Amino acid sequence: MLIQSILKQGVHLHPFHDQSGICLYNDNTTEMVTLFMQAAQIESLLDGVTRCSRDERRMLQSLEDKGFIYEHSLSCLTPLN
Amino acid sequence: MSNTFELALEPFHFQIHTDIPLVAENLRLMYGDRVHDVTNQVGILPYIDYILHITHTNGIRRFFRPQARFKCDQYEPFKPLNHSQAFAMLEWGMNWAIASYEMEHVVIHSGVLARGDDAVLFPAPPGSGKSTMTAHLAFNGWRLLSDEMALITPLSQSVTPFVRPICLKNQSIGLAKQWFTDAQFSSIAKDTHKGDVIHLAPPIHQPSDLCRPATIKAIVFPQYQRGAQIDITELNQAQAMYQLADNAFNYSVLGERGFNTLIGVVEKARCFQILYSQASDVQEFLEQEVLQPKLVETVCE
Repeated sequence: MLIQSILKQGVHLHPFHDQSGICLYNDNTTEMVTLFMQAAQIESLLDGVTRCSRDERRMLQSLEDKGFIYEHSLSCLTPLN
Repeated sequence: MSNTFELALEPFHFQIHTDIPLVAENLRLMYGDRVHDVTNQVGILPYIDYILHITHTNGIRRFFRPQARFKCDQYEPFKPLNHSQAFAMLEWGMNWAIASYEMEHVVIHSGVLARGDDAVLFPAPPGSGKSTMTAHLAFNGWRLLSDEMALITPLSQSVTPFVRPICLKNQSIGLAKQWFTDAQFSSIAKDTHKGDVIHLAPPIHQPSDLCRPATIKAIVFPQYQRGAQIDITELNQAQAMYQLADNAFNYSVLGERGFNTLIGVVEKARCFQILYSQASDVQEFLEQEVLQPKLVETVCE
């Protein structure tokens, strides 16, 4: 699943050239977040290819809570042990 | 007796009304020929961006522990302070006005200095030694663009000078007076919420320096620690963005343009976190390792 497909309208994504992470900006709330993960890593979590750690789940949940990604985007995360 | 001054601090023009002699004296001392007394005269600047008042409070307070109040276009953002702190209050008020209303530039809380036209930003919270570093570099061959805020032209790496006095606090005051014996210092504002505060007039080598922009080549997040050996960490872009956004005032108001400006700056500049105790160590590093290689490349070409 491409990360762009779960971003809400008005959310801009910028992957840093040095692969150190991505930055999201929400036009609707004017909030900006920097994630120390590449888009591919997040996509792999969303596809269930990689098991999600507690911190990663919390980070993704916070993106949902802050209106960066659509509700229920995280339903396909692999459950924690 | 109230005085009116006009202050041409490119890219902004201020009109200042004051009935506090200490403010008038310090304005002349800090700004020299950039301040014009236009009391009872028609102003000389073609336009005014901000009208500021720094005046005594009314009533009995004027005689018993007198206080100063600051207004920007009739809005009063701060509570009154002891009138001995009036000049410092005016300087903070000017910062507040730009941080609150400026929309032409992305504004970052940062010192800005340049070697030639290559600028280095020093974004940092209070207490990190930013102003001491700024003062050291400004008096040692670097060009001061600002002690307090970087004005970045949207969607570029260009930073516009906004040259004003350097605000020094507490221990840095003694240090600066030792270092720069010929420099002009304002009167001291004692016991402010930041401690003792003094302003240091910026060295201006050429009038054109006041409006010549520079290109951001590096961002340094400084952290002063007494007695520490210099410790330099190069930051990746995500780390730099995380810290830079923390110091940016108005990117949210500028929307996508503000966001893209910060991204562009972080991606094109080298970014460092530097723990230091000697400002000269940081200067040496920047001159030899960060800015100098570019000069050498240019010469080779």
